Amino acid sequence: MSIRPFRNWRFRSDTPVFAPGEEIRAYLTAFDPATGEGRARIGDTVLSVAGASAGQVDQLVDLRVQSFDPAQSIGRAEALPAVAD
Amino acid sequence: MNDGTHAGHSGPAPAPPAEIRFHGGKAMSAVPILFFIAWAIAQSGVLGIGDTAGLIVGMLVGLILGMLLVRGNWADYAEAVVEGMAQKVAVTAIVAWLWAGMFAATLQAGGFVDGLGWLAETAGMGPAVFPAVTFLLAALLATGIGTGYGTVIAFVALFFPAGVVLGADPLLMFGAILSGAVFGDNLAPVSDTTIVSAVTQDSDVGGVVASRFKYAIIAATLAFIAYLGFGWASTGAAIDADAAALFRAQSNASGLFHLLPIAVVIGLAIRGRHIIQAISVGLILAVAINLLFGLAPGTDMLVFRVAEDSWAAARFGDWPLVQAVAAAEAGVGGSLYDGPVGFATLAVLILLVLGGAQVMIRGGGFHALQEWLLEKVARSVRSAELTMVSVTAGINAAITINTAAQIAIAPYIATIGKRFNINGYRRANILDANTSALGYIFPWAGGVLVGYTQMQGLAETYDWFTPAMVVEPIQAWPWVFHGWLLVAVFLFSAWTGFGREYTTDRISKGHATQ
Repeated sequence: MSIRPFRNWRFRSDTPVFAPGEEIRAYLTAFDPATGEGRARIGDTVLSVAGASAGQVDQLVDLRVQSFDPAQSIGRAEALPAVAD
Repeated sequence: MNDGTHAGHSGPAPAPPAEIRFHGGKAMSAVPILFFIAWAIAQSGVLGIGDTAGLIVGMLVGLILGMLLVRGNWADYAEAVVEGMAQKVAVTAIVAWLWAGMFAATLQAGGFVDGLGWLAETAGMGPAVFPAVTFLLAALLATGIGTGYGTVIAFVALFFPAGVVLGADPLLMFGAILSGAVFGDNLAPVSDTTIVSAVTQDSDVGGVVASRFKYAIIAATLAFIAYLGFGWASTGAAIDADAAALFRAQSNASGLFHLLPIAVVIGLAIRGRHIIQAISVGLILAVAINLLFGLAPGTDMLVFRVAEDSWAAARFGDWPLVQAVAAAEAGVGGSLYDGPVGFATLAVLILLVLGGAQVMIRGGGFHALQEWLLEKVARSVRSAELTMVSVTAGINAAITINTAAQIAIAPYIATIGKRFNINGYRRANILDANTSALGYIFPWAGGVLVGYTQMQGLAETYDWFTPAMVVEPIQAWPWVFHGWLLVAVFLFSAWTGFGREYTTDRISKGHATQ
């Protein structure tokens, strides 16, 4: 195990930025059964997630970012089939 | 859609088991603990009575009052009290007190404090630097052995009297010891709280220790400077000249032989041995050193005092470890007795407090408070983290053993944190730092009371230790610099994002504990 005590001495934004095409892993934080759309909130950035299910809320989900608006810190992503906890 | 706490399904917060219902609603489940806190403040703060057994009465009466408010079956309430008292973390803490108590008292008997006095004189270490050095060494011991409580017991028995008699401010000395305990509980890989924080936040111990180093070292550096500064500023404090002269006359390098058993205990703990194993080996070594080098006779460590006019005195009076004394003084004594027995009262109190805390958990008061925080307060990542810091710090007011406090609050920290994709390391760090800190700050916290209990015995141990040197629990809280600074560092980090990590930055390695 590598111990790196000086890792991450930095200030992280409240609104992390993602690039279209970027693949990330995050907790699905909500799912709206009315629209069938999920949501992954990362800090104060919100990604609308297509292709997720209600059972994946609070689970780690692999996502591919489709579009992202850094000015509003919102974007769209699709859930990828490979799922890990 | 706004965030994870509103429209749509957002995953349930962890629910408590079968709820106990109270007249007046869920908030009434907090009555036993609130009554106890009010009693503690009135008794020790207002009346100035630092009697731990008195606090037991406060908790007992609180538990009875709470039961009168239960709607329906009182048996569930009684069961919740027992359930809370039977938690393993409470027993683990008590075990640490008992073993550390035996060990520290045996080092005392062997003149370790006299050795420290000699060392301080020889090294020219004055009262100005004593608190700062005490903080460093206590932090080192606590990080090595992983028990802040054990560290408080050992340092109050050994360093506190040496520092105070040499002119260091007792408040600063006690604060420095408590600070060292906070540092160790927070950072030590073998500490209960470190392990609980990692496991409950899906993280590995190595990862959380490495990631929390930055917060701990910033707070500790500032605390060290503060102890130096206040140490210099307080050197004009009145010193009891007779006590100091007596202490100097007794100072003796041979007491430093006991650095060896201390090193053995730290070494074994670092190698992952249980605290019972590690301290037992150190204790056996300390007893052997006392006997081999003539530092203390066997009767200083264990003695059976039998009534001189009894049959037993006539038969066994000349046996080793037996002394014939006046009937009124008959009893068992020595460091193996005095060390742990002092903590028996505190052990009972802590068990009762955990019983009261369990009533609040099973009565839904705790859950209602958490839900409110989750729904109403934590609306942005910044406010979520500020909430996590405040709640983890505040929980110690009700659950006074920091490990138990952590276990109770951990599911909520996981829930709040995951809703903002804050990764496991960051969640574990917020959880551990603030429960560790306040566990040594609230005047009724286990960490403070254990030190106070140990301190009360010092006047009986040393001729030169006067009652005026004792620090009351209510006086200690402003001086636990590392504890306060650790909370301040986390408030700053929550506000600015310093050290924050999202799951998209790095996912903690789940569930591996070593």
